[in-house]
Amino acid sequence: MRKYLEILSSLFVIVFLSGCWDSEEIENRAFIRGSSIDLAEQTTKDNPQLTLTQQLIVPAAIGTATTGGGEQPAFRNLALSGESLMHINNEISKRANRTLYAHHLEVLLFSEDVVKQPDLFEKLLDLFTREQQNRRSVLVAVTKEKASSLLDIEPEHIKVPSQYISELLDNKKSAEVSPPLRLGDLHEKLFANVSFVIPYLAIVDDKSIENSGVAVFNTNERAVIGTLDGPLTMGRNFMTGDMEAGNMRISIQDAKANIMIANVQSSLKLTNKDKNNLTFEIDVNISGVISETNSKINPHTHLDLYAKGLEKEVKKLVDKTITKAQTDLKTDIFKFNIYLYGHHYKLWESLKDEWDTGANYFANSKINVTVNANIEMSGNTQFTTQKEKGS
Amino acid sequence: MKRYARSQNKKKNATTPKHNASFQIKIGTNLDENVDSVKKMLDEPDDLIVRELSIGTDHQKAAIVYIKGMVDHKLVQDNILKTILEKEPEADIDLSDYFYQEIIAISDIKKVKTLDDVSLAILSGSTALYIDQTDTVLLMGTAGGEHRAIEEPQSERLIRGPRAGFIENIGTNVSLIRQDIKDPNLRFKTHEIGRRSKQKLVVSYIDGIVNPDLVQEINRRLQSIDTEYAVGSGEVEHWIQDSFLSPFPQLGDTERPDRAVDALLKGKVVILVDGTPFVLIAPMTLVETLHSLEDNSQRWIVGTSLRLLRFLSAFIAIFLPSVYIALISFHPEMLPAKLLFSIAASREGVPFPAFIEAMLMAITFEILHEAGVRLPKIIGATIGIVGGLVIGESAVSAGIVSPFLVIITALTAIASFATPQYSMAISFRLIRFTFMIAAATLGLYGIILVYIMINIHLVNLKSFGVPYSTPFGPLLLKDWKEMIIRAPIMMLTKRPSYLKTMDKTKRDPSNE
Amino acid sequence: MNKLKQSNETIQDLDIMIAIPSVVIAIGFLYMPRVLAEPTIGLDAIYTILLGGVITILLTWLGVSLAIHFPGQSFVTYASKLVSKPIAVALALLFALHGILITCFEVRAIAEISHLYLFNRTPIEVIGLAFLLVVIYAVAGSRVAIFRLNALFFPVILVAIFILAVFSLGFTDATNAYPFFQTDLNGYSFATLRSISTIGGFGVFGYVLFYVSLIRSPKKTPKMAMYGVILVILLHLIIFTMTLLVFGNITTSNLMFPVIELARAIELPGGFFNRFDSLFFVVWTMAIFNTTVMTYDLAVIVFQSVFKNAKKEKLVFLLAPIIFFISGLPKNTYELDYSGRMLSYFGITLATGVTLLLFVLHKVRGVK
Repeated sequence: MRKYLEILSSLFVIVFLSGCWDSEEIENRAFIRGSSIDLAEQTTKDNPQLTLTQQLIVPAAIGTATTGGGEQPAFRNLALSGESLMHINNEISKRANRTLYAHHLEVLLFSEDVVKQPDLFEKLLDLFTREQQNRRSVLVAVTKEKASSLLDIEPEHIKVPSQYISELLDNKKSAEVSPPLRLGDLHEKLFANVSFVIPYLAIVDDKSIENSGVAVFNTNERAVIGTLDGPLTMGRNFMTGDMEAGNMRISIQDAKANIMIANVQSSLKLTNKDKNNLTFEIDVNISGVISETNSKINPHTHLDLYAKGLEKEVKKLVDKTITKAQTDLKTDIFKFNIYLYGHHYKLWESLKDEWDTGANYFANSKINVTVNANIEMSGNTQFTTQKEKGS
Repeated sequence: MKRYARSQNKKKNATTPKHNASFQIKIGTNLDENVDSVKKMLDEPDDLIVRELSIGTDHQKAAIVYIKGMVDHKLVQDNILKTILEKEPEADIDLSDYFYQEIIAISDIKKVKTLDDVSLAILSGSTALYIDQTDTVLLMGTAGGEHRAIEEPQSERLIRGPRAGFIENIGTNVSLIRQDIKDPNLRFKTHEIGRRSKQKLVVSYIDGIVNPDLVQEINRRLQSIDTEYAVGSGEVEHWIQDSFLSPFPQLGDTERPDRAVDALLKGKVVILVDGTPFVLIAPMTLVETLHSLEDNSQRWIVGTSLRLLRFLSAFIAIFLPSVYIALISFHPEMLPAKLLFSIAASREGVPFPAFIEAMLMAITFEILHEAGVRLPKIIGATIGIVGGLVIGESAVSAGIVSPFLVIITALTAIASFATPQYSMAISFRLIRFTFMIAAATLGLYGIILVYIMINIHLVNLKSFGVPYSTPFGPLLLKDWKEMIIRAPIMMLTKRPSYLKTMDKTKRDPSNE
Repeated sequence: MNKLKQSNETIQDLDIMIAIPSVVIAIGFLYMPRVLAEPTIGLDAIYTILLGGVITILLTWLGVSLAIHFPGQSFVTYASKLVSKPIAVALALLFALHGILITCFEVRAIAEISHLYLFNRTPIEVIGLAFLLVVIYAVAGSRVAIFRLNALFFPVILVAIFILAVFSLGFTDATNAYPFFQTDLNGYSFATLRSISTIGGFGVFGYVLFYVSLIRSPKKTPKMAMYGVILVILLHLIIFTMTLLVFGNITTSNLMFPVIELARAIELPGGFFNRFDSLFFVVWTMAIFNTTVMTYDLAVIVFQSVFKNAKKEKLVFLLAPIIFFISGLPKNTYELDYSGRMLSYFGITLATGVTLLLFVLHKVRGVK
């Protein structure tokens, strides 16, 4: 009996499996590598119209060792305007000869004027997080110019602009940028109702893009309310410790020097828990290496002099950043919100609704920053111009 | 299957020859008549030699009968013919007793009185001595004749291992095993199978180690064999296996005496069949088909790594093409972008869907393999070149298949050859097609469903009462060190527990 | 033959240890972090997992140590001695109903999830039916073979969980661990209830009453069953912690299947497989399969002991269309979720109630 059962059920399975509903050959899919969202020209105040640009890969042009690639561009940008992204996407499908496939989406760009619209950013993101196709590791950035124009920037060494942008966002060698923002993180932050920063891209020329500064998202306004430029972003990164490497130009007595920052560690503490007189203490510990100096002072024997210079410079920058955040942006860009949520949960619960809006406890809080710098090494050359005198 | 076995059990081997009764069944006293009878029974074949002689001074007539080619000529010449002719027996003694006791220098000798016995013995290579005036025939075991020398086994080569392999002659095979195990408990139980072929079949085991229930069950199943001629050990295997619907071989087969010996010492039963160099090992489990004796020759780290590599290659051989189909047609999201784009680029212009493409290549490969096996060695190499270069290369350049698929097919092929047991390797290759069909219909989900189904089959399958999926299910962790990895020799103190052997330990009990 | 066959044809203590985690871990595990994160703050649900785990261990232990007193007897047989026969049959039938409903739930759920993560156009009915057919094939085989299947698949599932945990380490964020101990009592009690529900696998821990008595010579069964539950608790702890550390409490509460999302979040090194989630889900199919086979088999056991003359294959085939029909009843995922919750309450009440009732009666009456 069981033997017949075995045969029977195998047959059943084979018969029922012969559907192939979802089979779609790889070469019949159009892989979306980058997407950008702009405000369309026909936008009115209450009715924002959007332009969605999808960057599709042309695999044959990317080429393998055997096929070589050739001269044709390796990407194809399809752009359309409309009211909702899903709708536009459907419209784009009509123009693509292949099934659109977003699993390999790498970058998601929003132009500044889109994210400045209240609530719009969140609505748009909903589509991207709800759809099963998107990975949580998609990189998100805000662009100064029209976002779609960034998808046209084609540098010499990379055939697909999206890839260029994603590598650019992942490059952590500069201190003046925000750490890459993954769609998943963004999603978490929106849920957690905290303000945060987004990488900010700008076109330099028709072959390159610069990743510099950040756009600041205020959670209560539900929109991006401003930007920080490069140096101020660096100031922020000193305070939050979001820095892997960077350069700092300092002045010592007679001249200028350049310090390569090797390591930044910051610690945050709330010292005054009174709602209206919140005081935060931040300790920033920096270690660095002298990368360039034209001072006559022997750097090898006067490392602390350089350290002092660095401390002073950083402090100046940090204070400037704090002022900008508290008076101009009135938005918590220093991740105090996350700290308060984690370590002073009850306090945070009582003030989170007016943290950086309305009564704005953030803007009224006191922020004391202590900077400690340590220069580890004077570099490979010991002296600049002076001979050591045997005094 | 058991029902089949039972029904076969009823009809026992009926061996009455259906000849016309122009000869006598009982042996008479007249020499000429007796010789005529045997000639008639065998229909006077050309190779039947009847040498008539006269013995002693009173010229008593006698004859020796044998079949040319079945006997060892030298033996017949020196130990029978010569000794008989040289002796001058005294008158009026019983010649057959005299020859039996004093003259013939062959140890395997017996007296029989029926024609059936005589003809059967002659056909098996014995020499019969007829003496006039007596109704007793002396049968002398002179079996020998032409057989192959002991050579290195063709189908299971080892780098570090003995170079001896079984041959077609069962006597030699038995002695090969005996040479390795000089244990008085080593048992060889002879059966006879084949209604017409009368092949010898020997069940070998070590008393005291083996589970007696196992031997009993094997003997019971062997009784049920009802065939005219067993084509090698394969047919025996098919008669006694548990499930005929299973794609998996439920008995091991080997050409290597060392492997048979290893199995005997584990507590398994080895079945030797006359006329084939392949002996059967029972019971068998899935993982053991992936074992090679090489694992034991090498040091344990190497042995374990090689074994794990073999497990991996079994998985590759089964799954790779189906995973390719599933990834290309259903789940490209699993491929990293760079790999994906280059596969997409290489598939640009390929006219078939991945399934057809993979099927095409897989079937081509199977045909090539089959053709290569049939052809003589020298032409076999040509097939390799034709297959590899001409078909592979030009199929790619003609744009019929993508270069990736050629890599996949090649890798699968190589991986399937890493399975030491050929019968298992074939099963794997077959299952692969099921997986490919499943992948083409439901992608990875289809693959996993078929995988689960095969596992269900495996856990329900038994080889002589031993679950085929041992030692994974039932989970016998203590057997893992011998079956999954190859632990250092000091740790392998116990015989595999799943065999429920009488003697559980490999070590000398006095040392413990 | 008999000895060789027999020793391989009965359930062993070790089988119970493997069977418990493999039957408990199924769909519920995939959304476990969500339901535990919802009522709690930060990582607080860890304590409720521990508490709920201890309670589950206790209940399982009670059930097992009751059932080992009746080796070789079916539930109905020994329960009849404790309560009267009609009540025993009624209780068994309730368990059978639970088994059938869980089977339906799992079949439907796997169809829904594969629709979410693997397929777009393939009809849900087809996915479910294909799965159900494979389950039928397994249930129609021998009962010991089902335990062997558990042993075969469970290590794979363990490896998948292990890989998930190890590779998500790189994506964790320590700040997500804070704050500690901020959940209120209400939240804790709610989360404890849910912990029992998920660690007890919708009440399937009660099934030990049926399976343990099948063991011919139980020796260390209660200990082995406890190890099994401890393993489940450990797996819950590991995955819950990792999910929370990667996503944070609030996001976790908002993800439909946080464990699959966790698999999506991580990237495997080496560049062969970009995404772990499809692979993980495929492996998880085995876990769900294990559960479904056992719950289906439980229903068959009950019917076998109630209708003594019925052939096993017939019972299996008769149940199949019913299961397929019921699994098609929920209209959408919300109704499916809801029915899952109801099933879980039903199962826990049933398993706890029957275990306690029988255990107490056994102690009081001292039936051998």
